[in-house]
Amino acid sequence: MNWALRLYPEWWRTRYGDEMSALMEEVPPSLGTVVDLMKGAVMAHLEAEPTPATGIASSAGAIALGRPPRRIPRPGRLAVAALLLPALVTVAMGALLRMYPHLGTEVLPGPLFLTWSLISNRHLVLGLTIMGAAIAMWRALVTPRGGAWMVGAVVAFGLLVGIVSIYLGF
Amino acid sequence: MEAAHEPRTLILVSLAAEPRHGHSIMLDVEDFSGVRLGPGTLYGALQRLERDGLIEAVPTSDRRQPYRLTAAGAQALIGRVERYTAVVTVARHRLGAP
Repeated sequence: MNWALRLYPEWWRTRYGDEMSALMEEVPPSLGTVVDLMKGAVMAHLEAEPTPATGIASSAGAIALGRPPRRIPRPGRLAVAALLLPALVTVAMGALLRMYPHLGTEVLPGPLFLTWSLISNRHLVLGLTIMGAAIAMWRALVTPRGGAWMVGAVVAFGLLVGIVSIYLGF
Repeated sequence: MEAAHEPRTLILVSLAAEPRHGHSIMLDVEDFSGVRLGPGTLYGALQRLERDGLIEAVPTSDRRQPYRLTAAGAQALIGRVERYTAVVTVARHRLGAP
């Protein structure tokens, strides 16, 4: 399950990667563990990178980062979270519907079913695109020399505009 | 008031007796509370506790990094225990329990 650590930001892997890797060698792999790691990775990306002055001041990891501290604006974190969380819900619902199409008609009552029935493959694509755009935008904001991520963000937003245009029938 | 089963509180309780590494904390917490912390939840909580100066890493050459309570962490845990105790005392009194 060490692949899941790649979902975490670089500063996190520098500080906690070795010990998390050691821990995961002792924890039996399961779907719940994977989901927990993915949730942890999202939260880690929303966490400000610690600096010697603001946190984990005495840890070898922070010192080993070896680059100047980078302040992450709170409005930026909130904007990305506002984009990312609905996209995650859309993608998760779209994926579940593809795997278990009967769920929509047999399990979910009333308003939930209405929401569920609106999710289609197109919504899945849209959700994935929004998610990609949010991640690329976030990494462009927080990564020093994040030019590649900025290109990714521009491409993802271009795709997003294209897909939304198709939705709206332009 | 933080919930008694909130991961950071459970970790503080676990580290109150002795320094522990991640897997040891997971097993201990499950043993005394029945709560199973996943690796992502555990390390998210450890990072915030370390950031807030409530725990610190114990120097080691092992990949399994042990952590211990700081003085501030012990004080924070005492504060939480006192708040929980006050709630439990009122609940016992209102239920007529001894």
